[in-house]
Amino acid sequence: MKIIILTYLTVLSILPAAPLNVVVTLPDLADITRQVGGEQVAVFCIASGREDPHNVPLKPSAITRLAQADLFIQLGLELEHAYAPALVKESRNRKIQQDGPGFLDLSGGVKPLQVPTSVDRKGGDVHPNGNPHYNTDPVYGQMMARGIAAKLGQLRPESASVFKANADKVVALLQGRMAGWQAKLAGKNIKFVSYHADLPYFAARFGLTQVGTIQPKPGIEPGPREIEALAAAMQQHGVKLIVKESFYSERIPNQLAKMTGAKVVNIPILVNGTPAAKDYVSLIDTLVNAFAP
Amino acid sequence: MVQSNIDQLARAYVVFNAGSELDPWSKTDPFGEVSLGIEEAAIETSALPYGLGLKVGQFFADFSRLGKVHCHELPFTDRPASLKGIIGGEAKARGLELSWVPPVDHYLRLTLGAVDNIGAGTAATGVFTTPGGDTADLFAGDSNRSLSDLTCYGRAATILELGEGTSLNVGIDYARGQDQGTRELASADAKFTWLPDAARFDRLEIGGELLHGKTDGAFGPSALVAGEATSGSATAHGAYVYAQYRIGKDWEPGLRYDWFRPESWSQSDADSDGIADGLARTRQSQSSLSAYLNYNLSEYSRLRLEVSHLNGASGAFNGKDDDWLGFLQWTVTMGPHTHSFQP
Ligand SMILES: [Zn+2]
Repeated sequence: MKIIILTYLTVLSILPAAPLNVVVTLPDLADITRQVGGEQVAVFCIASGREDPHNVPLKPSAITRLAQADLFIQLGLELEHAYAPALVKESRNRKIQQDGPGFLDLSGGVKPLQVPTSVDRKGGDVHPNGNPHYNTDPVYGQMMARGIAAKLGQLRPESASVFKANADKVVALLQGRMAGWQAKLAGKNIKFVSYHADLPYFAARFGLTQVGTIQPKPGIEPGPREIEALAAAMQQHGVKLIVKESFYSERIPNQLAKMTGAKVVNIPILVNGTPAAKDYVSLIDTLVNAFAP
Repeated sequence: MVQSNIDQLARAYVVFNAGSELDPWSKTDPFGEVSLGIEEAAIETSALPYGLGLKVGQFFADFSRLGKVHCHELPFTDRPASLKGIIGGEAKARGLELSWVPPVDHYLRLTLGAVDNIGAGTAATGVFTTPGGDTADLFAGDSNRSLSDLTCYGRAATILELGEGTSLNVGIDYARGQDQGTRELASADAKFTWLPDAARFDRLEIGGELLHGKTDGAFGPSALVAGEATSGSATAHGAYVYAQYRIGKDWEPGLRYDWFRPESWSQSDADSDGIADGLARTRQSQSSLSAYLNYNLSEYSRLRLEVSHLNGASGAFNGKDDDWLGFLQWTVTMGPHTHSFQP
């Protein structure tokens, strides 16, 4: 007699869920989303970070990624209005349309600065709802991390605590660096001029004084009289620093530098804007160093 | 543009257009008439599943590359004669349009539409001249339009990303419908875009389109000649190509070549007795070379200057073979300035 003993070994493996497909507009959001989502997110970023954040080329590859996205994240306040709505609409993905479950605009908790009293677009104002460049304030960076964690937690409740813990790490990192950044900039009475109005949140956070912008209105190039008036204001206030966002031409900043003796410094206003700004923390590092080398 | 969301997935929009033509050489009325018109009034929804979209109302049909582009958003000041002649101006249409972006890894858009007509009818393919020199419709008009008079059209378009900052758009279209006779339109188009540096505003764009139009039907009363055909077909061909380069934020010079060959019909009177005794068709091409310069005052306002040299058959322009044309245009966009995505 033969006894055949058959043993079945059943391995019930717990397969990790497929990562959430997340499409973000800007590299700052990509970096924070990757830190918060970890291995549970696959992030695609529309902008490279090197271009003007108001004017990002409409790429079809973004549409195919948006079509498969579980979540779309934008900074908001109309910063991305020239490209994001068209791409989201063309993706025909119902989840990520505005008010859909997978649409996240992070500007909800922002107290907007420079809100225009009258929206007269004939002047070409590209900041109709107030200044949208709040990503340059690392305290808003903490808010962005928390907002992304909350939304990811809604989409994948079983991992909500993981996302929250990861966001806490980002917040702790930014809080930890804050004292050092403030120490570098505090009490120096730094006055500056930038090309575009993209640093009011950074200036307010660190107590810097912005004397003017080369563009008389966001998105409008200056005429010779406006350049002269700005040079006069710079000399009156003793401005020694012109910051030029990496995507603008050097021509007018250099002309102003000649007229006033101020120094021109090239800055990123997004992650990847310059090679040094390789992630969100180093973006803030780079900005702080531009003002206090 | 006025728009409102009906619910989160449907949106109604109206595009108004105000324009005025200025003719400094006109002694009586140099400013012309200010025209205000509704260009589009439609409802579109993205509530459909599987990447489908639906548009109902009056809109610019998704047909050809520049046919559906509003005049002030064209790369150049005027519409090329080939496009204007064969499509009949802007691709304005009333009806419904279904489009599909299949959920695959390569972006592709397929469009099917059923509308009353595309553009302004069959002018280009039905030009007819009487012995007296007057023009009339070659084909018999059909004033009793019925449901079978609908124009149906389709377009397939895609974009190939050739590299960082380099892309190629290609599209093909076909339309068929009843207007004056059976009208048929076909076109193929391409656009090459190159952004040399993401950190700058510079941009090279080279675009072009091949167009074909044909009308087949019964001749109208003024085109009927005893002993000659009572029906037939007329065709028109055309093409345009342009290249422009945006230098920084402000300046954008460009060149455009346009070629258009409509078919014209005329009555002939061999024995000069004042009664037409024959029907003749001729194909005479006309071409134009234009140089233009766009200056962006801001994101919402631009100035455009264009000079065109027109060439035609002998005596086409008041007895001369060629002519010059100049344009100066100022455009201002008001309201939310959202760019739409056009493959
Ligand atoms: Zn801005």
